[in-house]
Amino acid sequence: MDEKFKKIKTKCLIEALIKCAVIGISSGLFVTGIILLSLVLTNNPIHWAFYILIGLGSALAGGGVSFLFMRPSDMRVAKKYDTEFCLNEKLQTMVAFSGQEGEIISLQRQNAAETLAALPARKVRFSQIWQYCLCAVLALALFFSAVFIPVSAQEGGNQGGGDEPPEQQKPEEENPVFEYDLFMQSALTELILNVRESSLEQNLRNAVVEELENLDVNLNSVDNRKKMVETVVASVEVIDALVDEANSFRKLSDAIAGFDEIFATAIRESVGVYNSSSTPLNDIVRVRAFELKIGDLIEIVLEEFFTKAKTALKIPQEGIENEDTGEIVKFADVLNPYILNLGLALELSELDESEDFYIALDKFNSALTVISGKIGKYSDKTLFKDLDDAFSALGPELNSALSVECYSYVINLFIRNRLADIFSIKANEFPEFNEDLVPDDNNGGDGPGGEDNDDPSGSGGGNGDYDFIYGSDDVIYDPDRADYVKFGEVLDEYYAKMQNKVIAGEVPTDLAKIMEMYFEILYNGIKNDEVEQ
Amino acid sequence: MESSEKVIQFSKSIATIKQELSKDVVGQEDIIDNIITAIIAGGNVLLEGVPGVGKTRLVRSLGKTLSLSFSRIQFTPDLMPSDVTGTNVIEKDDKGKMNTVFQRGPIFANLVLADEINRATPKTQSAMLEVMQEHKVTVAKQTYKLDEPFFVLATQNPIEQDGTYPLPEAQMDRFMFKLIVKFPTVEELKGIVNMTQITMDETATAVVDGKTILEMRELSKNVPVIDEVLSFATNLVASTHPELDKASPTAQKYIKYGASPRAAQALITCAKVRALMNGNYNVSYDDIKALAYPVLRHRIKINYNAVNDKLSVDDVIKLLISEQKHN
Repeated sequence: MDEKFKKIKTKCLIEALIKCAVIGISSGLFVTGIILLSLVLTNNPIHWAFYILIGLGSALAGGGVSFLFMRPSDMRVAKKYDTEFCLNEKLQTMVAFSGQEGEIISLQRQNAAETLAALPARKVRFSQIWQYCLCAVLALALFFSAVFIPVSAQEGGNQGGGDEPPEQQKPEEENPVFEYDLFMQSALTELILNVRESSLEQNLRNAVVEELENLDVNLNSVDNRKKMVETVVASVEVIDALVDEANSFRKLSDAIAGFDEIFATAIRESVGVYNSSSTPLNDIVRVRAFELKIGDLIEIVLEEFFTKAKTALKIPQEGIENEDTGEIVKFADVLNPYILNLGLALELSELDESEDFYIALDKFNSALTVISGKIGKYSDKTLFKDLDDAFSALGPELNSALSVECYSYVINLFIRNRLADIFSIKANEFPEFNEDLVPDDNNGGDGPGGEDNDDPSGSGGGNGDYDFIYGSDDVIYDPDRADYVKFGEVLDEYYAKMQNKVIAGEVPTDLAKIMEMYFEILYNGIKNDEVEQ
Repeated sequence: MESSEKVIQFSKSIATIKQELSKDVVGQEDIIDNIITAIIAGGNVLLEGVPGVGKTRLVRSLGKTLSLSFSRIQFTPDLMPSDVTGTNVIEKDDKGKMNTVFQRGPIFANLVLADEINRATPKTQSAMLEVMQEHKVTVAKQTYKLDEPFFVLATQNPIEQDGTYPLPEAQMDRFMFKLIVKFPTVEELKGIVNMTQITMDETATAVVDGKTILEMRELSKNVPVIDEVLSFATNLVASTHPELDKASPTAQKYIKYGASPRAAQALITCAKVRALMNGNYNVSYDDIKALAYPVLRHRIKINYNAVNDKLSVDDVIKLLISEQKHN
C-alpha cells in the first residue's frame, strides 16, 4: 500500500482512538453518575471501589464498542478522503484492487498515489472532535451532579422534618430523653380506673390494677425512652400472664382437640371473637359497647359448631353405610366414643370441678350418657330430640363461661392499646398477643397485638390515621345523663366545664394546657368530620 | 505498446477527434462526447432533434475523422428491408452466363446514419435493428458480416409524428444512448452561420482509424470499477421499476415501466470509456450520474402523474439519481 496512504490511515486511527477514548470516558462517567445518584437517593450506598469498577467497566465497554464501529479500515479511510477531496473514488479503487494485477489497474494505482502525494498535509484534520468533547463535558457534569446533589438532598431533608410525625424516632436519636409528664400520668390513672370499674373477675382485676399501679410508680424513675419501653413491656407481659393464668379455655381446647378439632377451634374462636369484629378497642366506651355484644357473637360461633356436631352425631340406630369404607356405622358407634372422649378430655384438661367450663361440659356429657342408655329402646326421633335438647342446654352455659374469658382478653387488649397510645409504643415493640386466637383471614387486630397496627396516636376520640385525628359522632357515656350520647353534641358542654374549673383554679396550669390541647384536637376532628359529610 | 502509452494515446486521440469535429460542428460538446463514448463502447445512438441542427453533418464529419466508411439511409414509409440490407440480383458474367450476385445495401458501412428511422415501416425497422444487434446480414441463407467497428446513428424528428411508426420499446432498448440535440444558442448559431458561409462541406480530416477505435474499446474494458459504484449503477436501474422492492418513491409515482438489464450493462461499459476519456483510470459515481440520462431516457416510460406534474423524463431521472445513496 502507498506510504502516504499508510500515514493517513495512521492519523485516522489516532483520531478514532481519541474519539473512542472520549466516548469511553463519557460512558464511564455517565453510567457511574447514574448509578451513584440512584443508589444514594434510595439510601443504598455501596463501597466506593464498586463505583470505580463500574466506571472502568463502562468506559472499557463504551470505548471498545465504539472502536469496533469506528476503527479505520483501508476502505473507510479511502472513502473518507475521496469524499473530502472529491477524488472520484480513486483511493477506494486503489484499495479495492490493491491485491490485483493488470495494466490499467497498475496505472490507476500509480495515479492514485500521485494524487495522494499532491494532497496538502494541512488539509488532513480531525472532524467532529468538539462534539465528542461536549458529550464528555455533559457526562462529567452529570457525574459531579450525582456526587453533590444527593449530599444536598440529605442535608435539606434533615432540616425540614415538618412532615415527620413528632413521635417517630429520628435516626440519630436512638434513645431520646423520656419525661413522665402529667398527661401520661393522667391517662394511666384513667386506665387504672377503667380496669377497676371493669367486669373482670375480682382476683384478676385486683392483680391487674396492682400491676398498673406499679407501672405508674416505676415510670417516675425512668428518664429515657428505651428504659420506658422496657418497663411498660414488662408490665404488659405480667398482665398477659395474669390473664392467661386466669383463663382456662386453652386447657380445655387442647384436651378436646385430641378427638374433636372443630369443637376445640370453636372454643378458641369464641374467646378470640373480638378479632372478627371491626370495633377498635382503644377506649373504654368501645370496650363497654363490645362487652354487650360478646354473648351474641359467641352464640353465632357455637351455633355453627353445634350444627356440625349434631349432623355428625345424628346417625340412625340401625346404622348407615360409610361411603369411604363401606362399613355400617350406627348411632351407638358414634355417640359412645364421643361420650368417652369428652369425659377423658375433661379429666386431661385438669379443670377444677367448680369451674363453669367443667360444670357445663360435665352436664352435657351426662345428658349424652342418658341418651346412650336409650339406644335400642326409643326411636331415632326421640333420641335425636334429646340430642338437640342436650346441645340447647349446653349452649347458654358454655356461652357464659366463654364470655367471661373472652372479656378478660378484651380488657387485656384494651390495656395494651391504651399503653401503646399513652407512651407512643409501636406494635412490634410489644410481645406477641394471642396469635393462636387470630383467624387466618383476620384483618382486625386493632391493638398492639395486631400486626398491622403501628398507630401510636394518643387520642381515643375517633378512628384515625397516623397524623390526623378525625372527629366522630361516636357514642360516649354521659354520667350526668346516664346514657350514651354523641360526644360532638356534648363537647361544648364539657369544654365549658373544664374552663370553669381552670378559672376556679382547680386545675394545675400544666394540666390545663394539656386539656386545652386535647379539646383543640377534638374540635379539629369534628371540623374534619363535618367536611367529610 | 505499453499500457501507459496506450492510455496516453487514448486521451490524445479523443482530444484530436474533438478538435477535428469542432471544425465542422459548432457547440454540441456533450453530444459529441456521448457519441464518441458510444462508438468506443460499441453501442448505437438514437439522436432526437429538430431538423437542421447538424445531425447528418456531425455523423459525416465523424466518419471522416475516424476514417470510417459512412453511409446515410433516409427512411421513408416505402423503404423496404432489402433496400437497407441489400439483395441478390441477376447479372450476366463475361461468358454470358446468368449468375446471382449479392448487391450490398447501404448498411454495409462502418458508420451508418439512419435518418428518420421512425418513418420506416416496422418491417424495415426490424431489419435495420436486427443488423444493429447482430452486425451481420443474412440474405437467401447467406450471411454477410459487417466490418468492425460498426456504428449506427439513428435520428428521429420529435415534431412530425403524423405518418410515422414509433419505435417499439423493445427496439429502443437496442440503442445504447438516446441523445437530445437541442437548438443551438445564439452564439452557436452565429458560429454555424459564419462557418457555413464559407463552405457547406465538412473539413475535418482523418485522425484515427477503425483499428484504433477497436484498440480503445479493448483498453476501456479493463478499467476497474469498485463494488460500491457498481451497486450504485445497478440499484439505479433497479429503482426504475415500480413493481420491485427496490423501487424508489419517484418510480412508484412517476414511472410506468423501468429499464432493462441492458441499461446497467450500458452504464458500466460507457462509464469505463468516459473515465478514460477524462483521464481517469477508474469509474466514479460522477461517470454513472452523467451517463444515466442518455442511457435511461429512452428505456423508461413515465406515466400520467409525471405529465400532470409537468415532469420530463430527464426530470424523473434526476429525481431517481438524487434518491440513490452512495454506499
